[in-house]
Amino acid sequence: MDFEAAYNSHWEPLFRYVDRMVGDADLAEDVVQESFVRLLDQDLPDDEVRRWLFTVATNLVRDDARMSARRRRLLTQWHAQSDVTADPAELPDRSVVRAEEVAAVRAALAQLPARDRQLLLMREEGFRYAEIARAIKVAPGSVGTLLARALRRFTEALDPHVARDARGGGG
Amino acid sequence: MLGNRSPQIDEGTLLALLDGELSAEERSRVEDRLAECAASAERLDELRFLRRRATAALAVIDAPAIRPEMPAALREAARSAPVPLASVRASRFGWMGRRSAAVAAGLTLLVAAGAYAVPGSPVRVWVDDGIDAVAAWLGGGEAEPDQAEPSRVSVEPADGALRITIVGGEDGVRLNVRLTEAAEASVVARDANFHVEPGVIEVAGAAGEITVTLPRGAASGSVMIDETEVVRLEGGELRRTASPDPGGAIISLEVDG
Repeated sequence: MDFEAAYNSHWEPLFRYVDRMVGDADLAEDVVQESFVRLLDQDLPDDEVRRWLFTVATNLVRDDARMSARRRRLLTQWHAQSDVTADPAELPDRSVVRAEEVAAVRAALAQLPARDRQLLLMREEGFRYAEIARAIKVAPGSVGTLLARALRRFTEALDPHVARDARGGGG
Repeated sequence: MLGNRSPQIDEGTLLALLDGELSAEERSRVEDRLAECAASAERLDELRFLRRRATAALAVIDAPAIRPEMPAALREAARSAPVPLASVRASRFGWMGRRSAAVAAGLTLLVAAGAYAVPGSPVRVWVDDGIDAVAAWLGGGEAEPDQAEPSRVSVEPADGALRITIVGGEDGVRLNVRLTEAAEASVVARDANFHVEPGVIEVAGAAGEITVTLPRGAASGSVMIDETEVVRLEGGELRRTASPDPGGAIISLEVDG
């Protein structure tokens, strides 16, 4: 395994994945760094490295209670922020609109079960279904169904009316 | 994957089509059926929309990813064998994120203040605990999922019905299904991800032994492995259902209470 090549190739995608999961760039950076330190202990074929790193980072996030507490705290702040800026009488500028959008996406992600979040975010990083199946320990044939369900949950949490319209108009 | 007898194509297959996960043969069969099934074609469009929506939404929250230069200690460790991991961890303070660096700095200041030098001092205990906590965090000694204790989740029946689904359990997993006089169903499993909805528990990736307890008073209940029902609860009794090999699981039935 070429560790330096792995570091250069996988650092950014892994950071993006963890940051999306925890909503805290500093925390994401710590998790990514810890994942790479652990990689030093491994003797993996090159094509296994990416999945291994993402799995370890996911476990670090999942198993650290402090991160959960931090996520809840941040989520509360985002909700509060959304409430403050939700007054339709105000004309929000671009940055406020963006902050609301970020808060809505974060809140929607936070509502998902952990497995759904992992499924969605791994797919967004371009993992194949077979790799996702190994990472979350499910049969490869069930990944499509689980992903479709996760996708629905996420978009429904994100904008319920749009998801309802899509469902109503689509079926 | 295609489920020939189903009038509509399932969403998992449609999403796999969009994600380029089907073989040429599967793709051809799905496309033939899409040409004949307007409802499936509409679901495909809907999934395509939801997929784009999710991708666009996730892009909104991305923080700038600025990859730090790989620290020299890490580079050296990566080149040597065997890897002196402890020394790499010890040198990590040089490239930790701001949060961990702040914790480490706080501890260092406390030590420098002299309180740590007093034997038996509560401050000393606190600092030791803090160092242990930071060491555990840096060392990640508690983060290995395979060492986790079994977890238990429970759910009440929804309209009298229960469904317990075990997805992707490892080969050789031992599944115990029991009856109880309690009102709730429960699952105890190790290394598993759980998803709970009214009347439903999904268990993914469990290893070793899974214990499912179903309330005798429920109107009906099913225990599924992936998409195969392996145990059914009817009339207050459990019975194995005729099923193909459910992924190598060994199933035992017990009746408690």
